[in-house]
Amino acid sequence: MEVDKGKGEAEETRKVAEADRDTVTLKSSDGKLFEVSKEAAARLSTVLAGMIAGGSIDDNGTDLKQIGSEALENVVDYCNKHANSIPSAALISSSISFNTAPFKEPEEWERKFVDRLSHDALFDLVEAANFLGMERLLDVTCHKISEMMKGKSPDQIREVFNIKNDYTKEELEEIRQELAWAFYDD
Amino acid sequence: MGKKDEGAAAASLLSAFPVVFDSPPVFPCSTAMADSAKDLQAVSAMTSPLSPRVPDSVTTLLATMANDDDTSGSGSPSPWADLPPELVVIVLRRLPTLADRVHLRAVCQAWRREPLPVPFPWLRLRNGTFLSVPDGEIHHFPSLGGDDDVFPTCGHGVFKLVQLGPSPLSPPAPRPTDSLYAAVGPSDISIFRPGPAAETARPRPKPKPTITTITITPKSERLYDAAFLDGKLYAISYKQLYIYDMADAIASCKNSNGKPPEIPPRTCIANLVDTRWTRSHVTIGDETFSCRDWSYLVESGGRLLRVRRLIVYPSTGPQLTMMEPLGFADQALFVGEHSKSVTASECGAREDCVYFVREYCREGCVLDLHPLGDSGVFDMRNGRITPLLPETVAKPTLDGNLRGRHATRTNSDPAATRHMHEPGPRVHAALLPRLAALYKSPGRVPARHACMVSRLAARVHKTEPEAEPPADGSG
Repeated sequence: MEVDKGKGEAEETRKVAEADRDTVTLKSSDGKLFEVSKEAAARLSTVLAGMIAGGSIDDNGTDLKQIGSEALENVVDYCNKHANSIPSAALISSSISFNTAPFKEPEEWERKFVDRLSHDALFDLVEAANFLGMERLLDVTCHKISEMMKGKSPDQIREVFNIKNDYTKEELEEIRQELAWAFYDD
Repeated sequence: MGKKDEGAAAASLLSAFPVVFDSPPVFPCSTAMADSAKDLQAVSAMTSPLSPRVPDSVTTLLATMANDDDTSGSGSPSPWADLPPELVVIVLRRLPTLADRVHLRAVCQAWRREPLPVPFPWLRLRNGTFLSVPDGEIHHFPSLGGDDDVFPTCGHGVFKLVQLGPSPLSPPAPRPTDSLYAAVGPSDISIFRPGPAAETARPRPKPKPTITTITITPKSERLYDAAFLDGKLYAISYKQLYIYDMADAIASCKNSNGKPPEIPPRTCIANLVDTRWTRSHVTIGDETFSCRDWSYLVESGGRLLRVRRLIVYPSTGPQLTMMEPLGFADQALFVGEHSKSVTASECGAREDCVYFVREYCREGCVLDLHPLGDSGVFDMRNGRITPLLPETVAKPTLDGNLRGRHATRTNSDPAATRHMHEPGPRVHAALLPRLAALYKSPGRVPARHACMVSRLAARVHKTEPEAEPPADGSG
């Protein structure tokens, strides 16, 4: 009885200690471990929030088999930076001069954060953000991608993203209808 | 968003040219998805004769695109074509202009799988050009020319009335010619079948549509606006909301040799007269003020809405706030000569807002020379009205054109050129002094201005529509 009781107490203590920890450990597909603020992880990622709430966080590193170490490092870096950044009231763009929807513009540090990434790293990061349900990071990365496309022709976009044109002639005829006006002014 | 919604959204993108305020003419392949078994569609659609011509540069570009041996994408395979579709959608919606969205979808097949989100509707300026609001670009469609280059009775928008030909359940997608379109004017409805689809991309000669015009209202009465909801045509006059039975008219139009259609039967389903807010006067408290009033009918998310816009003068009148809170759930209404509802997050508009364009006085007077004039945005959540476009962005010129990148471009089409240099409608001498105070600042929304949205009918049609709420004003 005594032993059992002690075991129970130990279990409880461990649980309390776990709950008290303010970081979680994440493990990338290639086995690298990363520590991230629990608060930021729960706030920024719906998937991690669910895992933390559901107790499926592994102290020895929660496996995230879909995410490579480089992308996970960026995710963790983003979370930690976000946790340390002063929340800005200027999430809504001040540059909107037309009466259109107030898009949530990235903050300066977020802009820099994605600007330094290579195209491949950006792709991996946007996929990781999607997988982890990180709405804000998705916004920031997709904003970056859209910035890379603005004002470019399909050919130019293909060049930037190294994409092969895979259309058939019939499909091109359809696209012609769309492009007719879009290219008119160019 | 459901499949049907996507289709409807894509089709509404095709909204017609002969309207003051509408989307640019585009023919995405997904249009066909909008077609359902229903006879009447609650979507508006572009008609084939109105498509802009394809310049040679596009043909050249497409030729290079067609080259299968294109080596521009050589080297290691890029993962970008495999971007998950849900992310393509996020990026698409992040691109504010229709041009960028179209370009993205033309990159590769995988990026085209998602339907084109409805863009921010273009404003048609009175010189026949279109303003793309998010980037301030002005687009010309020379083949469209000016007002007189289109069906004369299409002033109130064009709706897809019925799809002929193959059943919607059996692909391939029907061509635009497989449909009947209807344009509702102040006193009649024009039902027409566009010409051959093969002609759509060519500038001229234009395909000749078959047009049948049916009078739908007595001469003494004019219709303000019309909308389709659940296969039924609704129209409002000053006094009443009507529902039309178009079955016979459609049947006779399907058979081109048939007799000219009879006046379609209509039923008045609501009395709209409001003694406190008439066409010319509004009573607030115990006082009565002169006003100018516009009414619009919009179908939005299965509801039929009446939007009333009010300008009170003299400008010393009370500040007005008139609104009935309606849960709009990501909708934005665009009202003008052709009113429509769009999904705000899709097109980049502000949700729960009514965008209204300048109203030319139909009698021929104009309130100022700014092409956007009193265009504004009414926020239904706080009752505030703001100008659509700040002056800093678009400066008016004396002839009422916007200064834009393309505004001074030489236009090859004589009709369009004529319209470009045509001065705006004459200012009515008697009205001007009275309105001067309101409109001295170009592009400004007058302060004594209100907007009210009220629900007239819902998708489950009621014989007794909700009574219109009284015009309630407060200082």
